[in-house]
Amino acid sequence: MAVVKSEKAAPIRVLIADDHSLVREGLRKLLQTEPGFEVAGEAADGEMLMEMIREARPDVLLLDLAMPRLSGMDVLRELANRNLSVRTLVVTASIDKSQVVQALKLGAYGVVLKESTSQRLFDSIRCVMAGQYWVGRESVSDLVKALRSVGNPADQAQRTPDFGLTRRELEIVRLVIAGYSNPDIADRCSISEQTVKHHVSNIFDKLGVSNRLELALFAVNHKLAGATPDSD
Amino acid sequence: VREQGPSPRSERMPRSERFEIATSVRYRLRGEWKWREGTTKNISRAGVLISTDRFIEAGTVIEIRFVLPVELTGEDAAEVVTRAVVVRSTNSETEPGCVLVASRIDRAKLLRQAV
Repeated sequence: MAVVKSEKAAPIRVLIADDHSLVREGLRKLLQTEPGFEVAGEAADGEMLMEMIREARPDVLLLDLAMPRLSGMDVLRELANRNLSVRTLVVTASIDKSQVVQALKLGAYGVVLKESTSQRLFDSIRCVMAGQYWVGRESVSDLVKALRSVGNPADQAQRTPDFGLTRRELEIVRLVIAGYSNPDIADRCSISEQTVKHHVSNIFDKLGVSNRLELALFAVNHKLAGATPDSD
Repeated sequence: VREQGPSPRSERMPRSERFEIATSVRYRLRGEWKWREGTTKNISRAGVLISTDRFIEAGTVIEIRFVLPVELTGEDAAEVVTRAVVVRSTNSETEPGCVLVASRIDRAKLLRQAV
């Protein structure tokens, strides 16, 4: 009979950071009931936490945002500045989208609400250990919107909405605003007049306009004349 | 039994978006050679509302010209030439002495400006 030798995976070492002892105790007991996890330590404030991370070198940090001496966000900043490698899951009672975005930008791997089930907590820890990000599934689409809305302000200031127009279509919009006819545009762009008509029709559909005047007014109003998309 | 529903016209012609574009216009009444001046308050594909200094009788055909207020790299923006029919003239409530002339566009062209 063949003997299958199974190699037991090392447990995921988790550090718990929360200023409420009851929460820390609850999380610790929870993790101790689940195979594959090991509690690497507990910290009640941000400064204590930074020391413990350096000493205990945990795999995953369960981080409360509202902590004395060094807030959760400050801890994330410190971890990034000091290049300390730990995968952080923010564990919080409530959080708004901008905070989620900020935490992710500062290096957090995800957010788990304290109202989550224990199974979700285990799943989230395994998920970030696998190198993935964890945000509550129901909030992902909202989060994507939030990420878009709080993107780099410099980029946003420079970027004009292009309403899904391709580079070629934007070029044609500019030529229409300049008063070029379809044959002129065809000549300028080295394409057939039929292709120009096709582009103009697509532009009308995308912008919801019905003639060249309305297209020009729309483009002026939305500053489309200067928009430059990344690709066709 | 006649069924009530949206009129065929409203299905074909949804209300056009008005763009709050303020720019200088020249206009003249049909048969006149002299241009008068005004400022657009809003423009849509179907009509232009201009602020000017005189009443124009409803039904009057006017020619309105204005250059699209936009800067293009290496090009001048087109001049819009429209033939329109005045639908009403009213005193402006916010600008004393100004008359708001609303007109319906019959025809519009975008013309390249002479380089």
